[in-house]
Amino acid sequence: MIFSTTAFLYFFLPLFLAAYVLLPWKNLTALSFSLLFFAWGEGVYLILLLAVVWMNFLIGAAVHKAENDKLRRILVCAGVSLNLAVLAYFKYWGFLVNDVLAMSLPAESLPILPLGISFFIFQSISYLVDVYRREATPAQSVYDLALYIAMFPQLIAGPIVRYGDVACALRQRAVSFFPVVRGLQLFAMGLAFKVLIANQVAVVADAAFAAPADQLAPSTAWLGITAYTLQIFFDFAGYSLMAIGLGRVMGFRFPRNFNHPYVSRSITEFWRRWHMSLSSWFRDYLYIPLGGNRGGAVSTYRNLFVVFLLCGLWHGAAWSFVAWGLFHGSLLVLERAGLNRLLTKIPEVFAHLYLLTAVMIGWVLFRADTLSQAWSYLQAMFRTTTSLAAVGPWEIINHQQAWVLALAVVFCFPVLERTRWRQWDETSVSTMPTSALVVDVTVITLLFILCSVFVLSGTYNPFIYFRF
Amino acid sequence: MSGPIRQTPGASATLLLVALVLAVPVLLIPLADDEARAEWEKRSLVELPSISDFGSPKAGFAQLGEYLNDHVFGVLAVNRAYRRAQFELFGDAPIPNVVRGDDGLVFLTSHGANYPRATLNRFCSPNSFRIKGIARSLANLSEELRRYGVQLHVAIPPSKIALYADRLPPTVPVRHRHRCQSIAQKRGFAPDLLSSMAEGYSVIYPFEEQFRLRDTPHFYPPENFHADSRSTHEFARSFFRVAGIAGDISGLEPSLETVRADLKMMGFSRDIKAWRYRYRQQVKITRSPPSWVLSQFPTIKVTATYDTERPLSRRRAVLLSDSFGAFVAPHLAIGFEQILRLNIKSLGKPEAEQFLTVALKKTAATDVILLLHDAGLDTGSLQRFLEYSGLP
Repeated sequence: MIFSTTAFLYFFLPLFLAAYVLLPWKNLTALSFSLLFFAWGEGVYLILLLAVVWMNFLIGAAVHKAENDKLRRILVCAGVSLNLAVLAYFKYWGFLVNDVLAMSLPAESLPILPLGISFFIFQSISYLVDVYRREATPAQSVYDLALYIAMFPQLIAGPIVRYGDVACALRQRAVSFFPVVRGLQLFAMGLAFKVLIANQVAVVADAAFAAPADQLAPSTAWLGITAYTLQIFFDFAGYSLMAIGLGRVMGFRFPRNFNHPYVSRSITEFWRRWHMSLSSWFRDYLYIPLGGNRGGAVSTYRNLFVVFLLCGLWHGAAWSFVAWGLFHGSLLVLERAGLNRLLTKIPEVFAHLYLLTAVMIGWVLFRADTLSQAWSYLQAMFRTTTSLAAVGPWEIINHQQAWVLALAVVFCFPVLERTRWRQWDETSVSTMPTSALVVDVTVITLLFILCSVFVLSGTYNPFIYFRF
Repeated sequence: MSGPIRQTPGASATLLLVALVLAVPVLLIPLADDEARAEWEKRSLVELPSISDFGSPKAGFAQLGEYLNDHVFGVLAVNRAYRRAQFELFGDAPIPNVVRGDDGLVFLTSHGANYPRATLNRFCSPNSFRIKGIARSLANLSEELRRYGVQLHVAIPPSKIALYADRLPPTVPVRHRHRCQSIAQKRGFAPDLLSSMAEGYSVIYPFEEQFRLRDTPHFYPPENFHADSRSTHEFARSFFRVAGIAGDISGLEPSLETVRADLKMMGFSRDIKAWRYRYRQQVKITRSPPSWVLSQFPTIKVTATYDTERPLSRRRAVLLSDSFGAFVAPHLAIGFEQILRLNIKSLGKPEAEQFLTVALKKTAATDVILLLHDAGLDTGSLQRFLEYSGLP
């Protein structure tokens, strides 16, 4: 189930909210609805999710109880390996046999990728490692761990929540007025990002990538990738905001996942602002254990490559994602090797241009179905001549989408930072005058109504990040 | 597993209120006008899944999701408002198979959203091999009809794409626009080919006349896909000239009236200005099928009978057409005592094999008119009809 559907917005969500308020067993209610949410989209794969929860609960408890460091290490390695084995089978088996080994197995003989498996496996690994490092105490009951791993707002598209960040709230939290208002505000904004912006510009991006790349005029190719650049940000950031907002409504605090990544001036800065919960996960559970930047330049570069190769693979089991990861890894190495110093010396506008060009080239690799399509698309972007019969920009965009695209560009900048919306801490809402609160509630209502118009009139577009 | 989880009354009240508001579209499902929606969208709505449908949970939930999509309250009104806003506010076509130019001209480029440029392709890249095959089949049909003493006419109203190809907007791929303009300049490839191969039947394709008049006010209502205005009137005049029906139908001045636009597929209805001709008042239109159609061809739904009080001739016709037929027939009817119109797309193989033979006997027809617009000649429905419509 996805958040911007009729079933979620007008059936599941109100039912959940009413049950959550009226029933005394908050965690049981949240867990039951989370399992229903997963079963709605994935059916019997619910058993897999429950098996992963149970396995991690047992291993986490064993790691905690073991007094021998060697045994603890063996247990945590076994636990991480089992989690990765589950991920490898469901996500990478098809890629391995068909693309790497070229065995051409029929699709029906390959496992189906359950939605959100990358997210709940990474959360499970973080749980085991945090317990091993004694940074978190193990879950007191399997229900607590199940709620942590399966909580529906962040179950299938993040943000990736650390167990330590919510462990206390699982047992003790408050559902109070101002966080609820803030949560609804964030949810409305996220829904608007997804429905009003991402879904609209997606049509433009899809049209550009559906056309034969050799027939695209350069302007059309750039328009297409600009649309995709905006789509992926507003899609994913919107989903994260909705998840964070629902978490607030339930009394949890999930970490912020995006911080205006396109205003960055380097790829290094970009990764501090883009999908922050994933980049910090890779930093804490892979980059630093590999040695981080402590072993000299060559070792650091190797670690960066390894991290971004795996980051690319985490996003999808295809060569294009591998290429995307290595592309970003290469740029990070270049920046660390000296490009960063240059970027700080040149005028800011050129640094932004560098960042945007690099990111957009990366998104071509990310969006294309194959590496050859990506290469053809890149050629179209940088072609200096164009034929009279080439696909022009107005063939893939209409007036409404053009307006939305312009609006999306504006919202890539921190314009909301200048309003009350920027406040992530609900104390700012609690100190707000009543008139301002009325304005906020009105804005939330209007956004809901506008999004409802789009949702009800049949706009449908699955979230991009679901396939990860 | 419950713990010290506190909940303030303010939060509870807010969440319950939000839940109630969000649930309104589902709570009001019993009040939703499902019939109107099914009719508007021309499809059956999904049924509520039964418990047994959840034998496969994924399939059961998927059906429940589709049921909610189809039945939630207010969808029809919201959809109309949204499509209208796209059309009026942004100047965009609200569905992929319609093109709207900046000057307000609306083109229907396909009947299905899956192939949104199919009609453009057919008109602008006609298949000469197939058209030649159609011409041969028409000659055969004409010969068979003559044995019954019946004259065959192939009536081809120029479509909007043909008449206004130079006004196709930049949202249409440039290669399509160039091809369409080139074909239009040659007054259409397929009709020319049919005319050149016509043996025993007449081809009525008044492209030049219509092109000359295309910029007169409301000649072809710009907001409309079909032409029920001066263009249909002029087409009928051209038809009568070629078919040898004497008399003029342009004696009475037409009036400019506001009418509802003709296709619901855009998601909303519009009021448009169109010329209305007084002679049409002489034509009595019966939209229910005649009794012999109901008894012998119960699957045929789209028929109408046009009876004229003071016709220009004593001839009677069977009109087999695409959607243009409903708009042209009232004008053609003034030349005939009676016209029985049938949408050719509603003819399956069994009906096509027998319908014409029976219809000729039952209506005592003197003429058979095959009426298809120029972008609709190269379609499966005409080929299918010609293939199966053998007369004994």
